[in-house]
Amino acid sequence: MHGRLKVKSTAEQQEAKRKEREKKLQLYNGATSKIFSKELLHLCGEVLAVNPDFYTLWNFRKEVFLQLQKSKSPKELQNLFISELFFLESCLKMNPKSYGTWHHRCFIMDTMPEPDWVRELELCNQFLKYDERNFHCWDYRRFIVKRANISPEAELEFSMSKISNNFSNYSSWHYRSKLLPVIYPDQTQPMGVSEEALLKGETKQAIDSISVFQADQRVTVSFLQHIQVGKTANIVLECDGTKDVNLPTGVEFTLAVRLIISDAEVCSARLHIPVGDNTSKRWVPSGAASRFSQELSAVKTETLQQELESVTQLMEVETDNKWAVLTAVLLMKALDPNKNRVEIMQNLHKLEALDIKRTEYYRDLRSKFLVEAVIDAMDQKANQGEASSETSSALNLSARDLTKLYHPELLTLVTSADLSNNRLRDVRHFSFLQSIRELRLSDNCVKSCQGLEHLPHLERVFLDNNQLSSPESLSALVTCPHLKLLDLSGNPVLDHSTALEGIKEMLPDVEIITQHTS
Amino acid sequence: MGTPVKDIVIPSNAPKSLMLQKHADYIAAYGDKKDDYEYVMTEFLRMNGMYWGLTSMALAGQLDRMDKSEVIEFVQSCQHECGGFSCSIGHDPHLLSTLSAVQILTLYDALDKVDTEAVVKWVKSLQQADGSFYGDKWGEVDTRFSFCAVACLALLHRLEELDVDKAVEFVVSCMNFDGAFGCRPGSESHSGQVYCCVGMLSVTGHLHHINADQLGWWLCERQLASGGLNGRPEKLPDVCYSWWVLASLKIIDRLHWVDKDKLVQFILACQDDETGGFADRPGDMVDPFHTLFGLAALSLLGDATIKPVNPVLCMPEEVIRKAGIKLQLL
Repeated sequence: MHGRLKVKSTAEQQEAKRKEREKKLQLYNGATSKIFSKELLHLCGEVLAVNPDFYTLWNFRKEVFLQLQKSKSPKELQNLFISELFFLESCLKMNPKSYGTWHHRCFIMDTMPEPDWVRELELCNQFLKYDERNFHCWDYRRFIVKRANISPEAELEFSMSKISNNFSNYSSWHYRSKLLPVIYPDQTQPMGVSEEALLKGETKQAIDSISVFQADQRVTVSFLQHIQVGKTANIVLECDGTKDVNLPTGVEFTLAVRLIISDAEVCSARLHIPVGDNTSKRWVPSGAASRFSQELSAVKTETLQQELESVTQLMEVETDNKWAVLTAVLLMKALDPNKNRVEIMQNLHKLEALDIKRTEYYRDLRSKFLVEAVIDAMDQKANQGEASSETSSALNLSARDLTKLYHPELLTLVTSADLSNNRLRDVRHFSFLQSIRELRLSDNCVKSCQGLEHLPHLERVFLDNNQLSSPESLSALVTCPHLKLLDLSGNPVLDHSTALEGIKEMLPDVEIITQHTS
Repeated sequence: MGTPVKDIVIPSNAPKSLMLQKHADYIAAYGDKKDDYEYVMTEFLRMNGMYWGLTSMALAGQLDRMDKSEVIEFVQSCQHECGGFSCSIGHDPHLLSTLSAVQILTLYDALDKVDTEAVVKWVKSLQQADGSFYGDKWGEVDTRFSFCAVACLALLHRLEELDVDKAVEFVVSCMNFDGAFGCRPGSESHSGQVYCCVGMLSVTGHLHHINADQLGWWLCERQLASGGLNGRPEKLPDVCYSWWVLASLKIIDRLHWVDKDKLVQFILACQDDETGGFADRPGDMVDPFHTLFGLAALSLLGDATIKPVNPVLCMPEEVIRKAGIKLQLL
């Protein structure tokens, strides 16, 4: 029962309504009980007109039409099907959102001798005029377009006319997002749109429109499409330039790994192994400045730069327009995340204040960018041959308002991490930190050590001033074989007088700090 | 300028605290009015309705008020020779009612009361070469049915009977540029379908296909100024989306991206303090569907008076744990 207003009525009105309902009920019960014994299409139709979600009755009608196919002449049959289409039209006018009605129409069109697809497309136009967001009707349109072989170009034009009629029509924008990769395929990634098409027309239009209309979600979203990476991919592993991956012994060699999508290289990384070196090494991405962004061509950079300028202008006029700020952040991230870091962070702070319902989203996004910057810096150092130095295995992100440690899978070689003075709520994905020896988590909001299980080298954990409230919240640490020191001061768990003994029993070989001497 | 944002204003006299007992009483009395117009008109979703009502009662901790043997007898009589269940006696079997039937039987730990072998065979028969599922023999395809199929077989501990890889491939092909999902490949994103697709990938352990930050952003943008969540951009808020959106966010570990206090306020305002039950929006008619999703959403939001709910199967956590069903969460 969606959108049915509850009306307070007088006793009299209620009585009248009750009588009317009783009458309907009689008709309805009469209809349902007869249907299964008699072939009464019109009676069943009366019920469906009131109650189109009564799927068994649609099934019944389908059975009837399949029977009629055997006994009627093509001409008679065509007429019967046409009258069914008229009946469906009247049902759809009353309830345009019934799955069963739309599916029955598909069935009829697929079963009738001479379906008129042009008329159906016109019907879709009419229904979309009445409600341009009816997803059932858009789905039916896709069905017709497929059956009638209507060109994607014609449909793109249709979507354009819908958009120029109402710019804020998410359905039309969605429809375009599916047509563009078909009309302008990008050879380098499946379901990608060629750069040329995006730069000349599509993105330009979307971004230009921001400066005319108040920006909203679909604008930002349609821009996102061309900074996304494809999904399915092949990974190629090479040793010294050949695909023979038997690692040689006693000689220097270089391992290379490439990610291939539809015959095109998306990214690659290499690792040089000198003789007799047994230390762990980082894979260094070759080429790109950052492993978190795609490399942009000169023309793409120029276009995005122009868009950034117009969005920045819009931000000056409409200071509280969150869509403009968010678009600016994404553009700056795509252009050069490291050069624009300060401004990106400032804008994300601004978004936290502008859009308070989604504060935590912006905080997580900021945390993600922070971690990415640190990993980029590690990659750079490794590229310059400092891979084995102390600094690259130490991670310092203390006092950065961090809410989440993103990309832990890229931090497997980190030996010490200072994450103190942040807003971390959990350590659930820290199990990736397989080389960690010292973990500083002082002054966060951690409630449980779940995620620190079986860390093979972990020796010292600083968890002072967190929200650990029971010995059970520490049980994960039992499985860390080399744990020597645990700082628990300032946690509610110590408020219980017996808790400390329990913890000591649980972690007999660990020195537990419970109080800081100042 | 842009189109005005569609939203509602919560009336100042709307309920502000949970009336759990009233809701339980509303559900317990719902089945007593079998001659009521409303009741008869909704026969085509009776099995779903029973699942909504019984799960509401279970979440309120009052399942024992319902007539267990009557329910099981009804479910038994809705199973067809093919193995599928219909929404009511004399209707046709469908995946939507089959999942509800299996959920009800799981709730009562009574799966042995029906022919589960036949259910498995029938669900399996609905899978198509492209991995998708028909809802019944008439061939409608929808990602809702992909969820129903895998959820059903997971509850029966027979997931391996399906071509899971193909099924996953189909669901992934329904992902859009915004990270969300639609009914079929090419269909527009919709929160209800997002729940089904995310739930399907959770049941099958394939959540890595999801771009959690992208999808999470689209989902948290569903929250409007009133605090309520809508199903798609530019639509009105509705209590049932509190569930579809929130459960999806929970599964992908992004629940904190919405303003919980404002959402709780919106859901509570949709209660009817005279009759009990929840409506889609403040001041509308209540029904068991919105009552379950209102309660389940409040449970996810941490209301301790309601039992913890499983975000994937929308059943009490304790039932899922007891049944030994493993579900992936990010």
